[in-house]
Amino acid sequence: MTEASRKVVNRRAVVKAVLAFTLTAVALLVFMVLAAAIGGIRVSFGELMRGIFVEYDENVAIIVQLRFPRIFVAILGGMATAAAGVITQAVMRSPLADPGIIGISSGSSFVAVLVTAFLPSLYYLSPLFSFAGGLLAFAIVYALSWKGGLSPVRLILVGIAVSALFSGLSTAFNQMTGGNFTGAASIVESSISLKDWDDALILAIYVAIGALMCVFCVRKCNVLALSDRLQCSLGVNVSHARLQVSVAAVFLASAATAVVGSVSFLGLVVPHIARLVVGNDHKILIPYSALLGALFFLVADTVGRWIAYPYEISVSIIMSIVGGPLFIILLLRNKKYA
Amino acid sequence: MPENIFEFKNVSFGYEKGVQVLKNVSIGIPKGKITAFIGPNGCGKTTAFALLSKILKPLSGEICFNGTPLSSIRRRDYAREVSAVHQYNTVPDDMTVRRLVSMGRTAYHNMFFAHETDEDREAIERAMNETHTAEFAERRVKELSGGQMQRVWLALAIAQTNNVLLLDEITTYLDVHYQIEILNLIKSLNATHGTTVLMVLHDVNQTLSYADNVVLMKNGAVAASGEPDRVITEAALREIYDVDAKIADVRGKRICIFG
Repeated sequence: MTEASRKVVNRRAVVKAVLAFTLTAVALLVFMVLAAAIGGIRVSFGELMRGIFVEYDENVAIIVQLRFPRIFVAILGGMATAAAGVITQAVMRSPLADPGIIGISSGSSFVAVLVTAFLPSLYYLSPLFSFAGGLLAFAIVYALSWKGGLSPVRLILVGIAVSALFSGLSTAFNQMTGGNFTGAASIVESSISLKDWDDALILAIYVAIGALMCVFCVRKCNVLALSDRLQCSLGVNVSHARLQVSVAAVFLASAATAVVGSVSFLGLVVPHIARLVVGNDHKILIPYSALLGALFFLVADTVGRWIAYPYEISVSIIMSIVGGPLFIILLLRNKKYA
Repeated sequence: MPENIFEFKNVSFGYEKGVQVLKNVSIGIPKGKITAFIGPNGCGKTTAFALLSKILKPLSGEICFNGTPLSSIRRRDYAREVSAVHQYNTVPDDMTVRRLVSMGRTAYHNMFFAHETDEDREAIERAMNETHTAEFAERRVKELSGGQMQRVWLALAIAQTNNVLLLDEITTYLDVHYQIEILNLIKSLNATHGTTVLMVLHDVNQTLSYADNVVLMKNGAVAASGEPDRVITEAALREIYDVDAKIADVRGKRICIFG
């Protein structure tokens, strides 16, 4: 192949990325409208616009107060979860490292449950507390599975144990208290049916901070893909870089968990698809994963609301049903992971 | 006596207690020369290289670079002076050659934002031209052959700096054609930029024809060091590798025949 045709190939990659972003964004918009339209109360698009901008309408007010924040919570939660997945995978240098599967989310969810139950006045800070829980879980998993390099099997085994421990503790707490702390119960069950504008706002603030952290992590994520030895001789302090990126990953995973609960597989499946579409450069991979994560989360939530109406299936359940088999396919398809 | 760029002062190292991989090594590495480290597997060559690239720290003793102990040089500053090609490498499949080579500029940026300066671009272009990797700059690394890949690693290292190169078994796993190509390339870098080269080699004949200086290692200690013609003798080879060797002059070149 000549140099000119190589350049054409690279231009094609750029076009592909732009196309991927556009299509995903359009799909997200479509599902936002669908999500707003699906439910017990039905209004036409005209009525909706009229209700928001022209005059008060009771039905529209209910939709704006209940469905809209839920849509935004789903989008932000999906973004944070998927971005956390990508950078956790960069740190662990393993495409199987998902904050949900390896226990980070259950660690932060447990602390979020405790805070929601006992210190409801600190509700706005609950993502920070769950961040502490996430860090604890991450430290345990990291310490037990990292020995100069990472064996994926070890990572998954330790992760399963840590995840089981913390989600067991959360469920035990929920059952001990008879599920009386509804806020706590909704985190345990990863239900976002009662989220309001306050939740959306809190999540938006923490996701914005997380996004800023991601901007500073892009370069480190790319360098972390190289071997430790090479990073050393390139002048990188590997343990510092790894620690900083880990903190960003845990922060995003915890912020999402504090509001939407622990959702497994989203942080695994979405980055994997994103890599197939836009490649491994984190400058594009992180934002695209976030966008795709938002779409996945919103679709899962909307399908969960619609499929057994008037009953609801939570996003985490849907992601487990869809993500579990995908995870196995992933394992089988690539010999490298096994 | 030429000026030494590296000075090992009573350097010892071990991964486990009681098992020393390097035992009280004291040698000097001359500046602007090609130095080859040879010796049997497990003699401590790769460990010595890990110490030189600041991946490991000596348990006792110290290594000085231009008179300054390595422990007191910041990693990033050191990376602007000394670059390395290691034995085993991982790299994302879909990375292009140019992007991989540009990673060599890491030490010249802060870790938050990457902004490629003209100086970076110049260093990258020059490195790729010198290693003849420019012709496949836009290719993905997974499409490359072993010989092309080694040239790309070398390009990355010289995009970083052509002051000092540490090359750990850069010719292993290559066929003879690519081995000679890489060694000629290294020789010409040394000649044009005065690059100090330290490399681990396995081939005694290549050592004889490409190295200015040789360090012979056995069991974590330096058995001999100096000019290849003087250090590589039939007796030394028997001592180090426990093999019979014959050294002969053919057309003015010293060659070594085993068996």
